Amino acid sequence: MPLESGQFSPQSAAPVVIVGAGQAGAEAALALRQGGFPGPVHLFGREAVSPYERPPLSKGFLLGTILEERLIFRSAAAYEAAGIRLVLGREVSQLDPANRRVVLNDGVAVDYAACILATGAEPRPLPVPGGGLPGILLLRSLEHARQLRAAIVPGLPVVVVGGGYLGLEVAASARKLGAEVTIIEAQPALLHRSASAITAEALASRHRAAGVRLLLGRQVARIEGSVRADGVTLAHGAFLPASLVLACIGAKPEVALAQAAGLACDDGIRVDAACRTAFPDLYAIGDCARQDDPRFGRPVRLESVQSATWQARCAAAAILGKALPTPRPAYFWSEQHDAKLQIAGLADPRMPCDDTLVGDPTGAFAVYRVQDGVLRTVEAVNRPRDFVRAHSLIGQRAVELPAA
Amino acid sequence: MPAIHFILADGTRRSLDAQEGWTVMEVAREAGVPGILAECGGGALCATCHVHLEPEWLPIAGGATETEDMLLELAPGRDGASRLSCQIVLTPALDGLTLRVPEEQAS
Ligand SMILES: Cc1cc2nc3c(=O)[nH]c(=O)nc-3n(C[C@H](O)[C@H](O)[C@H](O)COP(=O)(O)OP(=O)(O)OC[C@H]3O[C@@H](n4cnc5c(N)ncnc54)[C@H](O)[C@@H]3O)c2cc1C
Ligand code: FES
Repeated sequence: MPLESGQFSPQSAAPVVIVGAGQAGAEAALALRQGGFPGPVHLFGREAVSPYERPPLSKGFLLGTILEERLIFRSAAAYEAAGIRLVLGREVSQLDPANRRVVLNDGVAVDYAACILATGAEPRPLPVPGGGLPGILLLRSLEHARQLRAAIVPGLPVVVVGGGYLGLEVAASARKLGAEVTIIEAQPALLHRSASAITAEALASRHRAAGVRLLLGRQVARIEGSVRADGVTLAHGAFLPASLVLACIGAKPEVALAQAAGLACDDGIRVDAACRTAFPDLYAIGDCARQDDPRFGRPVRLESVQSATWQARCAAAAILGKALPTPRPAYFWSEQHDAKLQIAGLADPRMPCDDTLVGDPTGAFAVYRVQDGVLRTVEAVNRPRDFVRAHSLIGQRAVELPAA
Repeated sequence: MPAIHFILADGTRRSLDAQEGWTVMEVAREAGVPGILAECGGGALCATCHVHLEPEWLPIAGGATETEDMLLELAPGRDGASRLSCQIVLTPALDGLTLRVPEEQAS
């Protein structure tokens, strides 16, 4: 049930409570205000900093080209001015959907008119002996990124475990900062299931050319070190010294609160197209949510900024009783060395892809990926025109490809 | 501190003090100017930070760059005075910059 505007007198009514002050939570709070929501909005975040964007953490922030203050979406004063109560450094530790109540870690209970779970995801720790040693870093938060930046030293060996987007971006940044970088990936290729073989290979070549060592199809057996990690032993016995080990083996959705409250979870809190859970006035958005996605006709959980902001606007629209925003093709981006990768659309990882390369894989190129005769996704490296064009072509059959 | 004036889709005006060196998008995001979604955080990827310069500002702020021009294809209602606000860096010369926020963003 949407909340009628008239139901609220701004001070006295129960608030919309948003759990998690990340990209999705902050966008939802703002979208409620911009949509004319008159009641109180409370935004609770575990981290001590105002909501900020994470993508630069592995890119410009690590390189020092983007300063910390530029990551913050808006100052605390700006939330106040917008009538959003931003509560930082506090955790919601309990959710009681039947009584429409959340409880904070200091025991304070807050009754809600509607609640949006925007709890994000947490990086997976390395599941090997020694995987918890100091000196093994993760990258999700600004705090992690500060630690990482301080730990990267020119000339010293950095071992990145995991050849997904995050690992590749950090590897590229660390290399640029002068570290000796090795990437260990268990699969025989980089970006397993998340990019075409053509793009994965083109990026691998760029990493090698920049002096990053790639160990593909290799398993980490153990992290070595008595007080802190000082090296990695591989399954076939080889030892790699490391002054820093970075675990980039993926993230798991933060669903503890939801699960304890009895919400359906399946690698993400299950929600419908409007981001509604099965409980009234309870929503989930962003990295923690698996949404019935109208674009793909199946439940999808995407860890991307676009997905987080779009779902935030879906939930806000549902709370306001307005029409859902029109879906656009999913998109994602990555920066590694001189490659600016832009991806529009999404392939179904369970089905084979028919890939066509346009352009030069050592320079600018695009890969058009067709499934069942339909263009599903376009990966463009240093070819923004293909990325832009893709927005109107995704979902079509018999797409005419650019000449070169 | 340069001042920027946003004319919103409903005709109301919002005037903001801006910091030199920041982009117009960042100023709008800080203040929560409705209609500027800035989904990609200034990466020239999403075109949801689309604005129209008021005609007198076009020669001063300049038109869209090549990449911007490409991305603007994603923006509904783009015209010759369209810019991505994340690509406009504020300088003293832009004190008083006046822009219109489109009714509908790409998203
Ligand atoms: C280094 C890095 C680079 C990335 N690069 C890109 C990129 O190039 N392009 C792209 O599209 N995406 C990228 N992403 C992904 C993107 O940042 C995420 O998809 C996005 O941040 C998801 O937003 P969210 O709000 O769902 O989660 P988050 O931003 O993680 O926010 C969740 C917040 O909720 C808080 N929280 C959790 N539980 C509770 C609780 N019980 N009580 C209170 N607070 C709680 C957490 O502490 C956290 O601050 C990147 C991510 C990282 C980490
Ligand atoms: S913020 Fe995305 S293009 Fe400007």
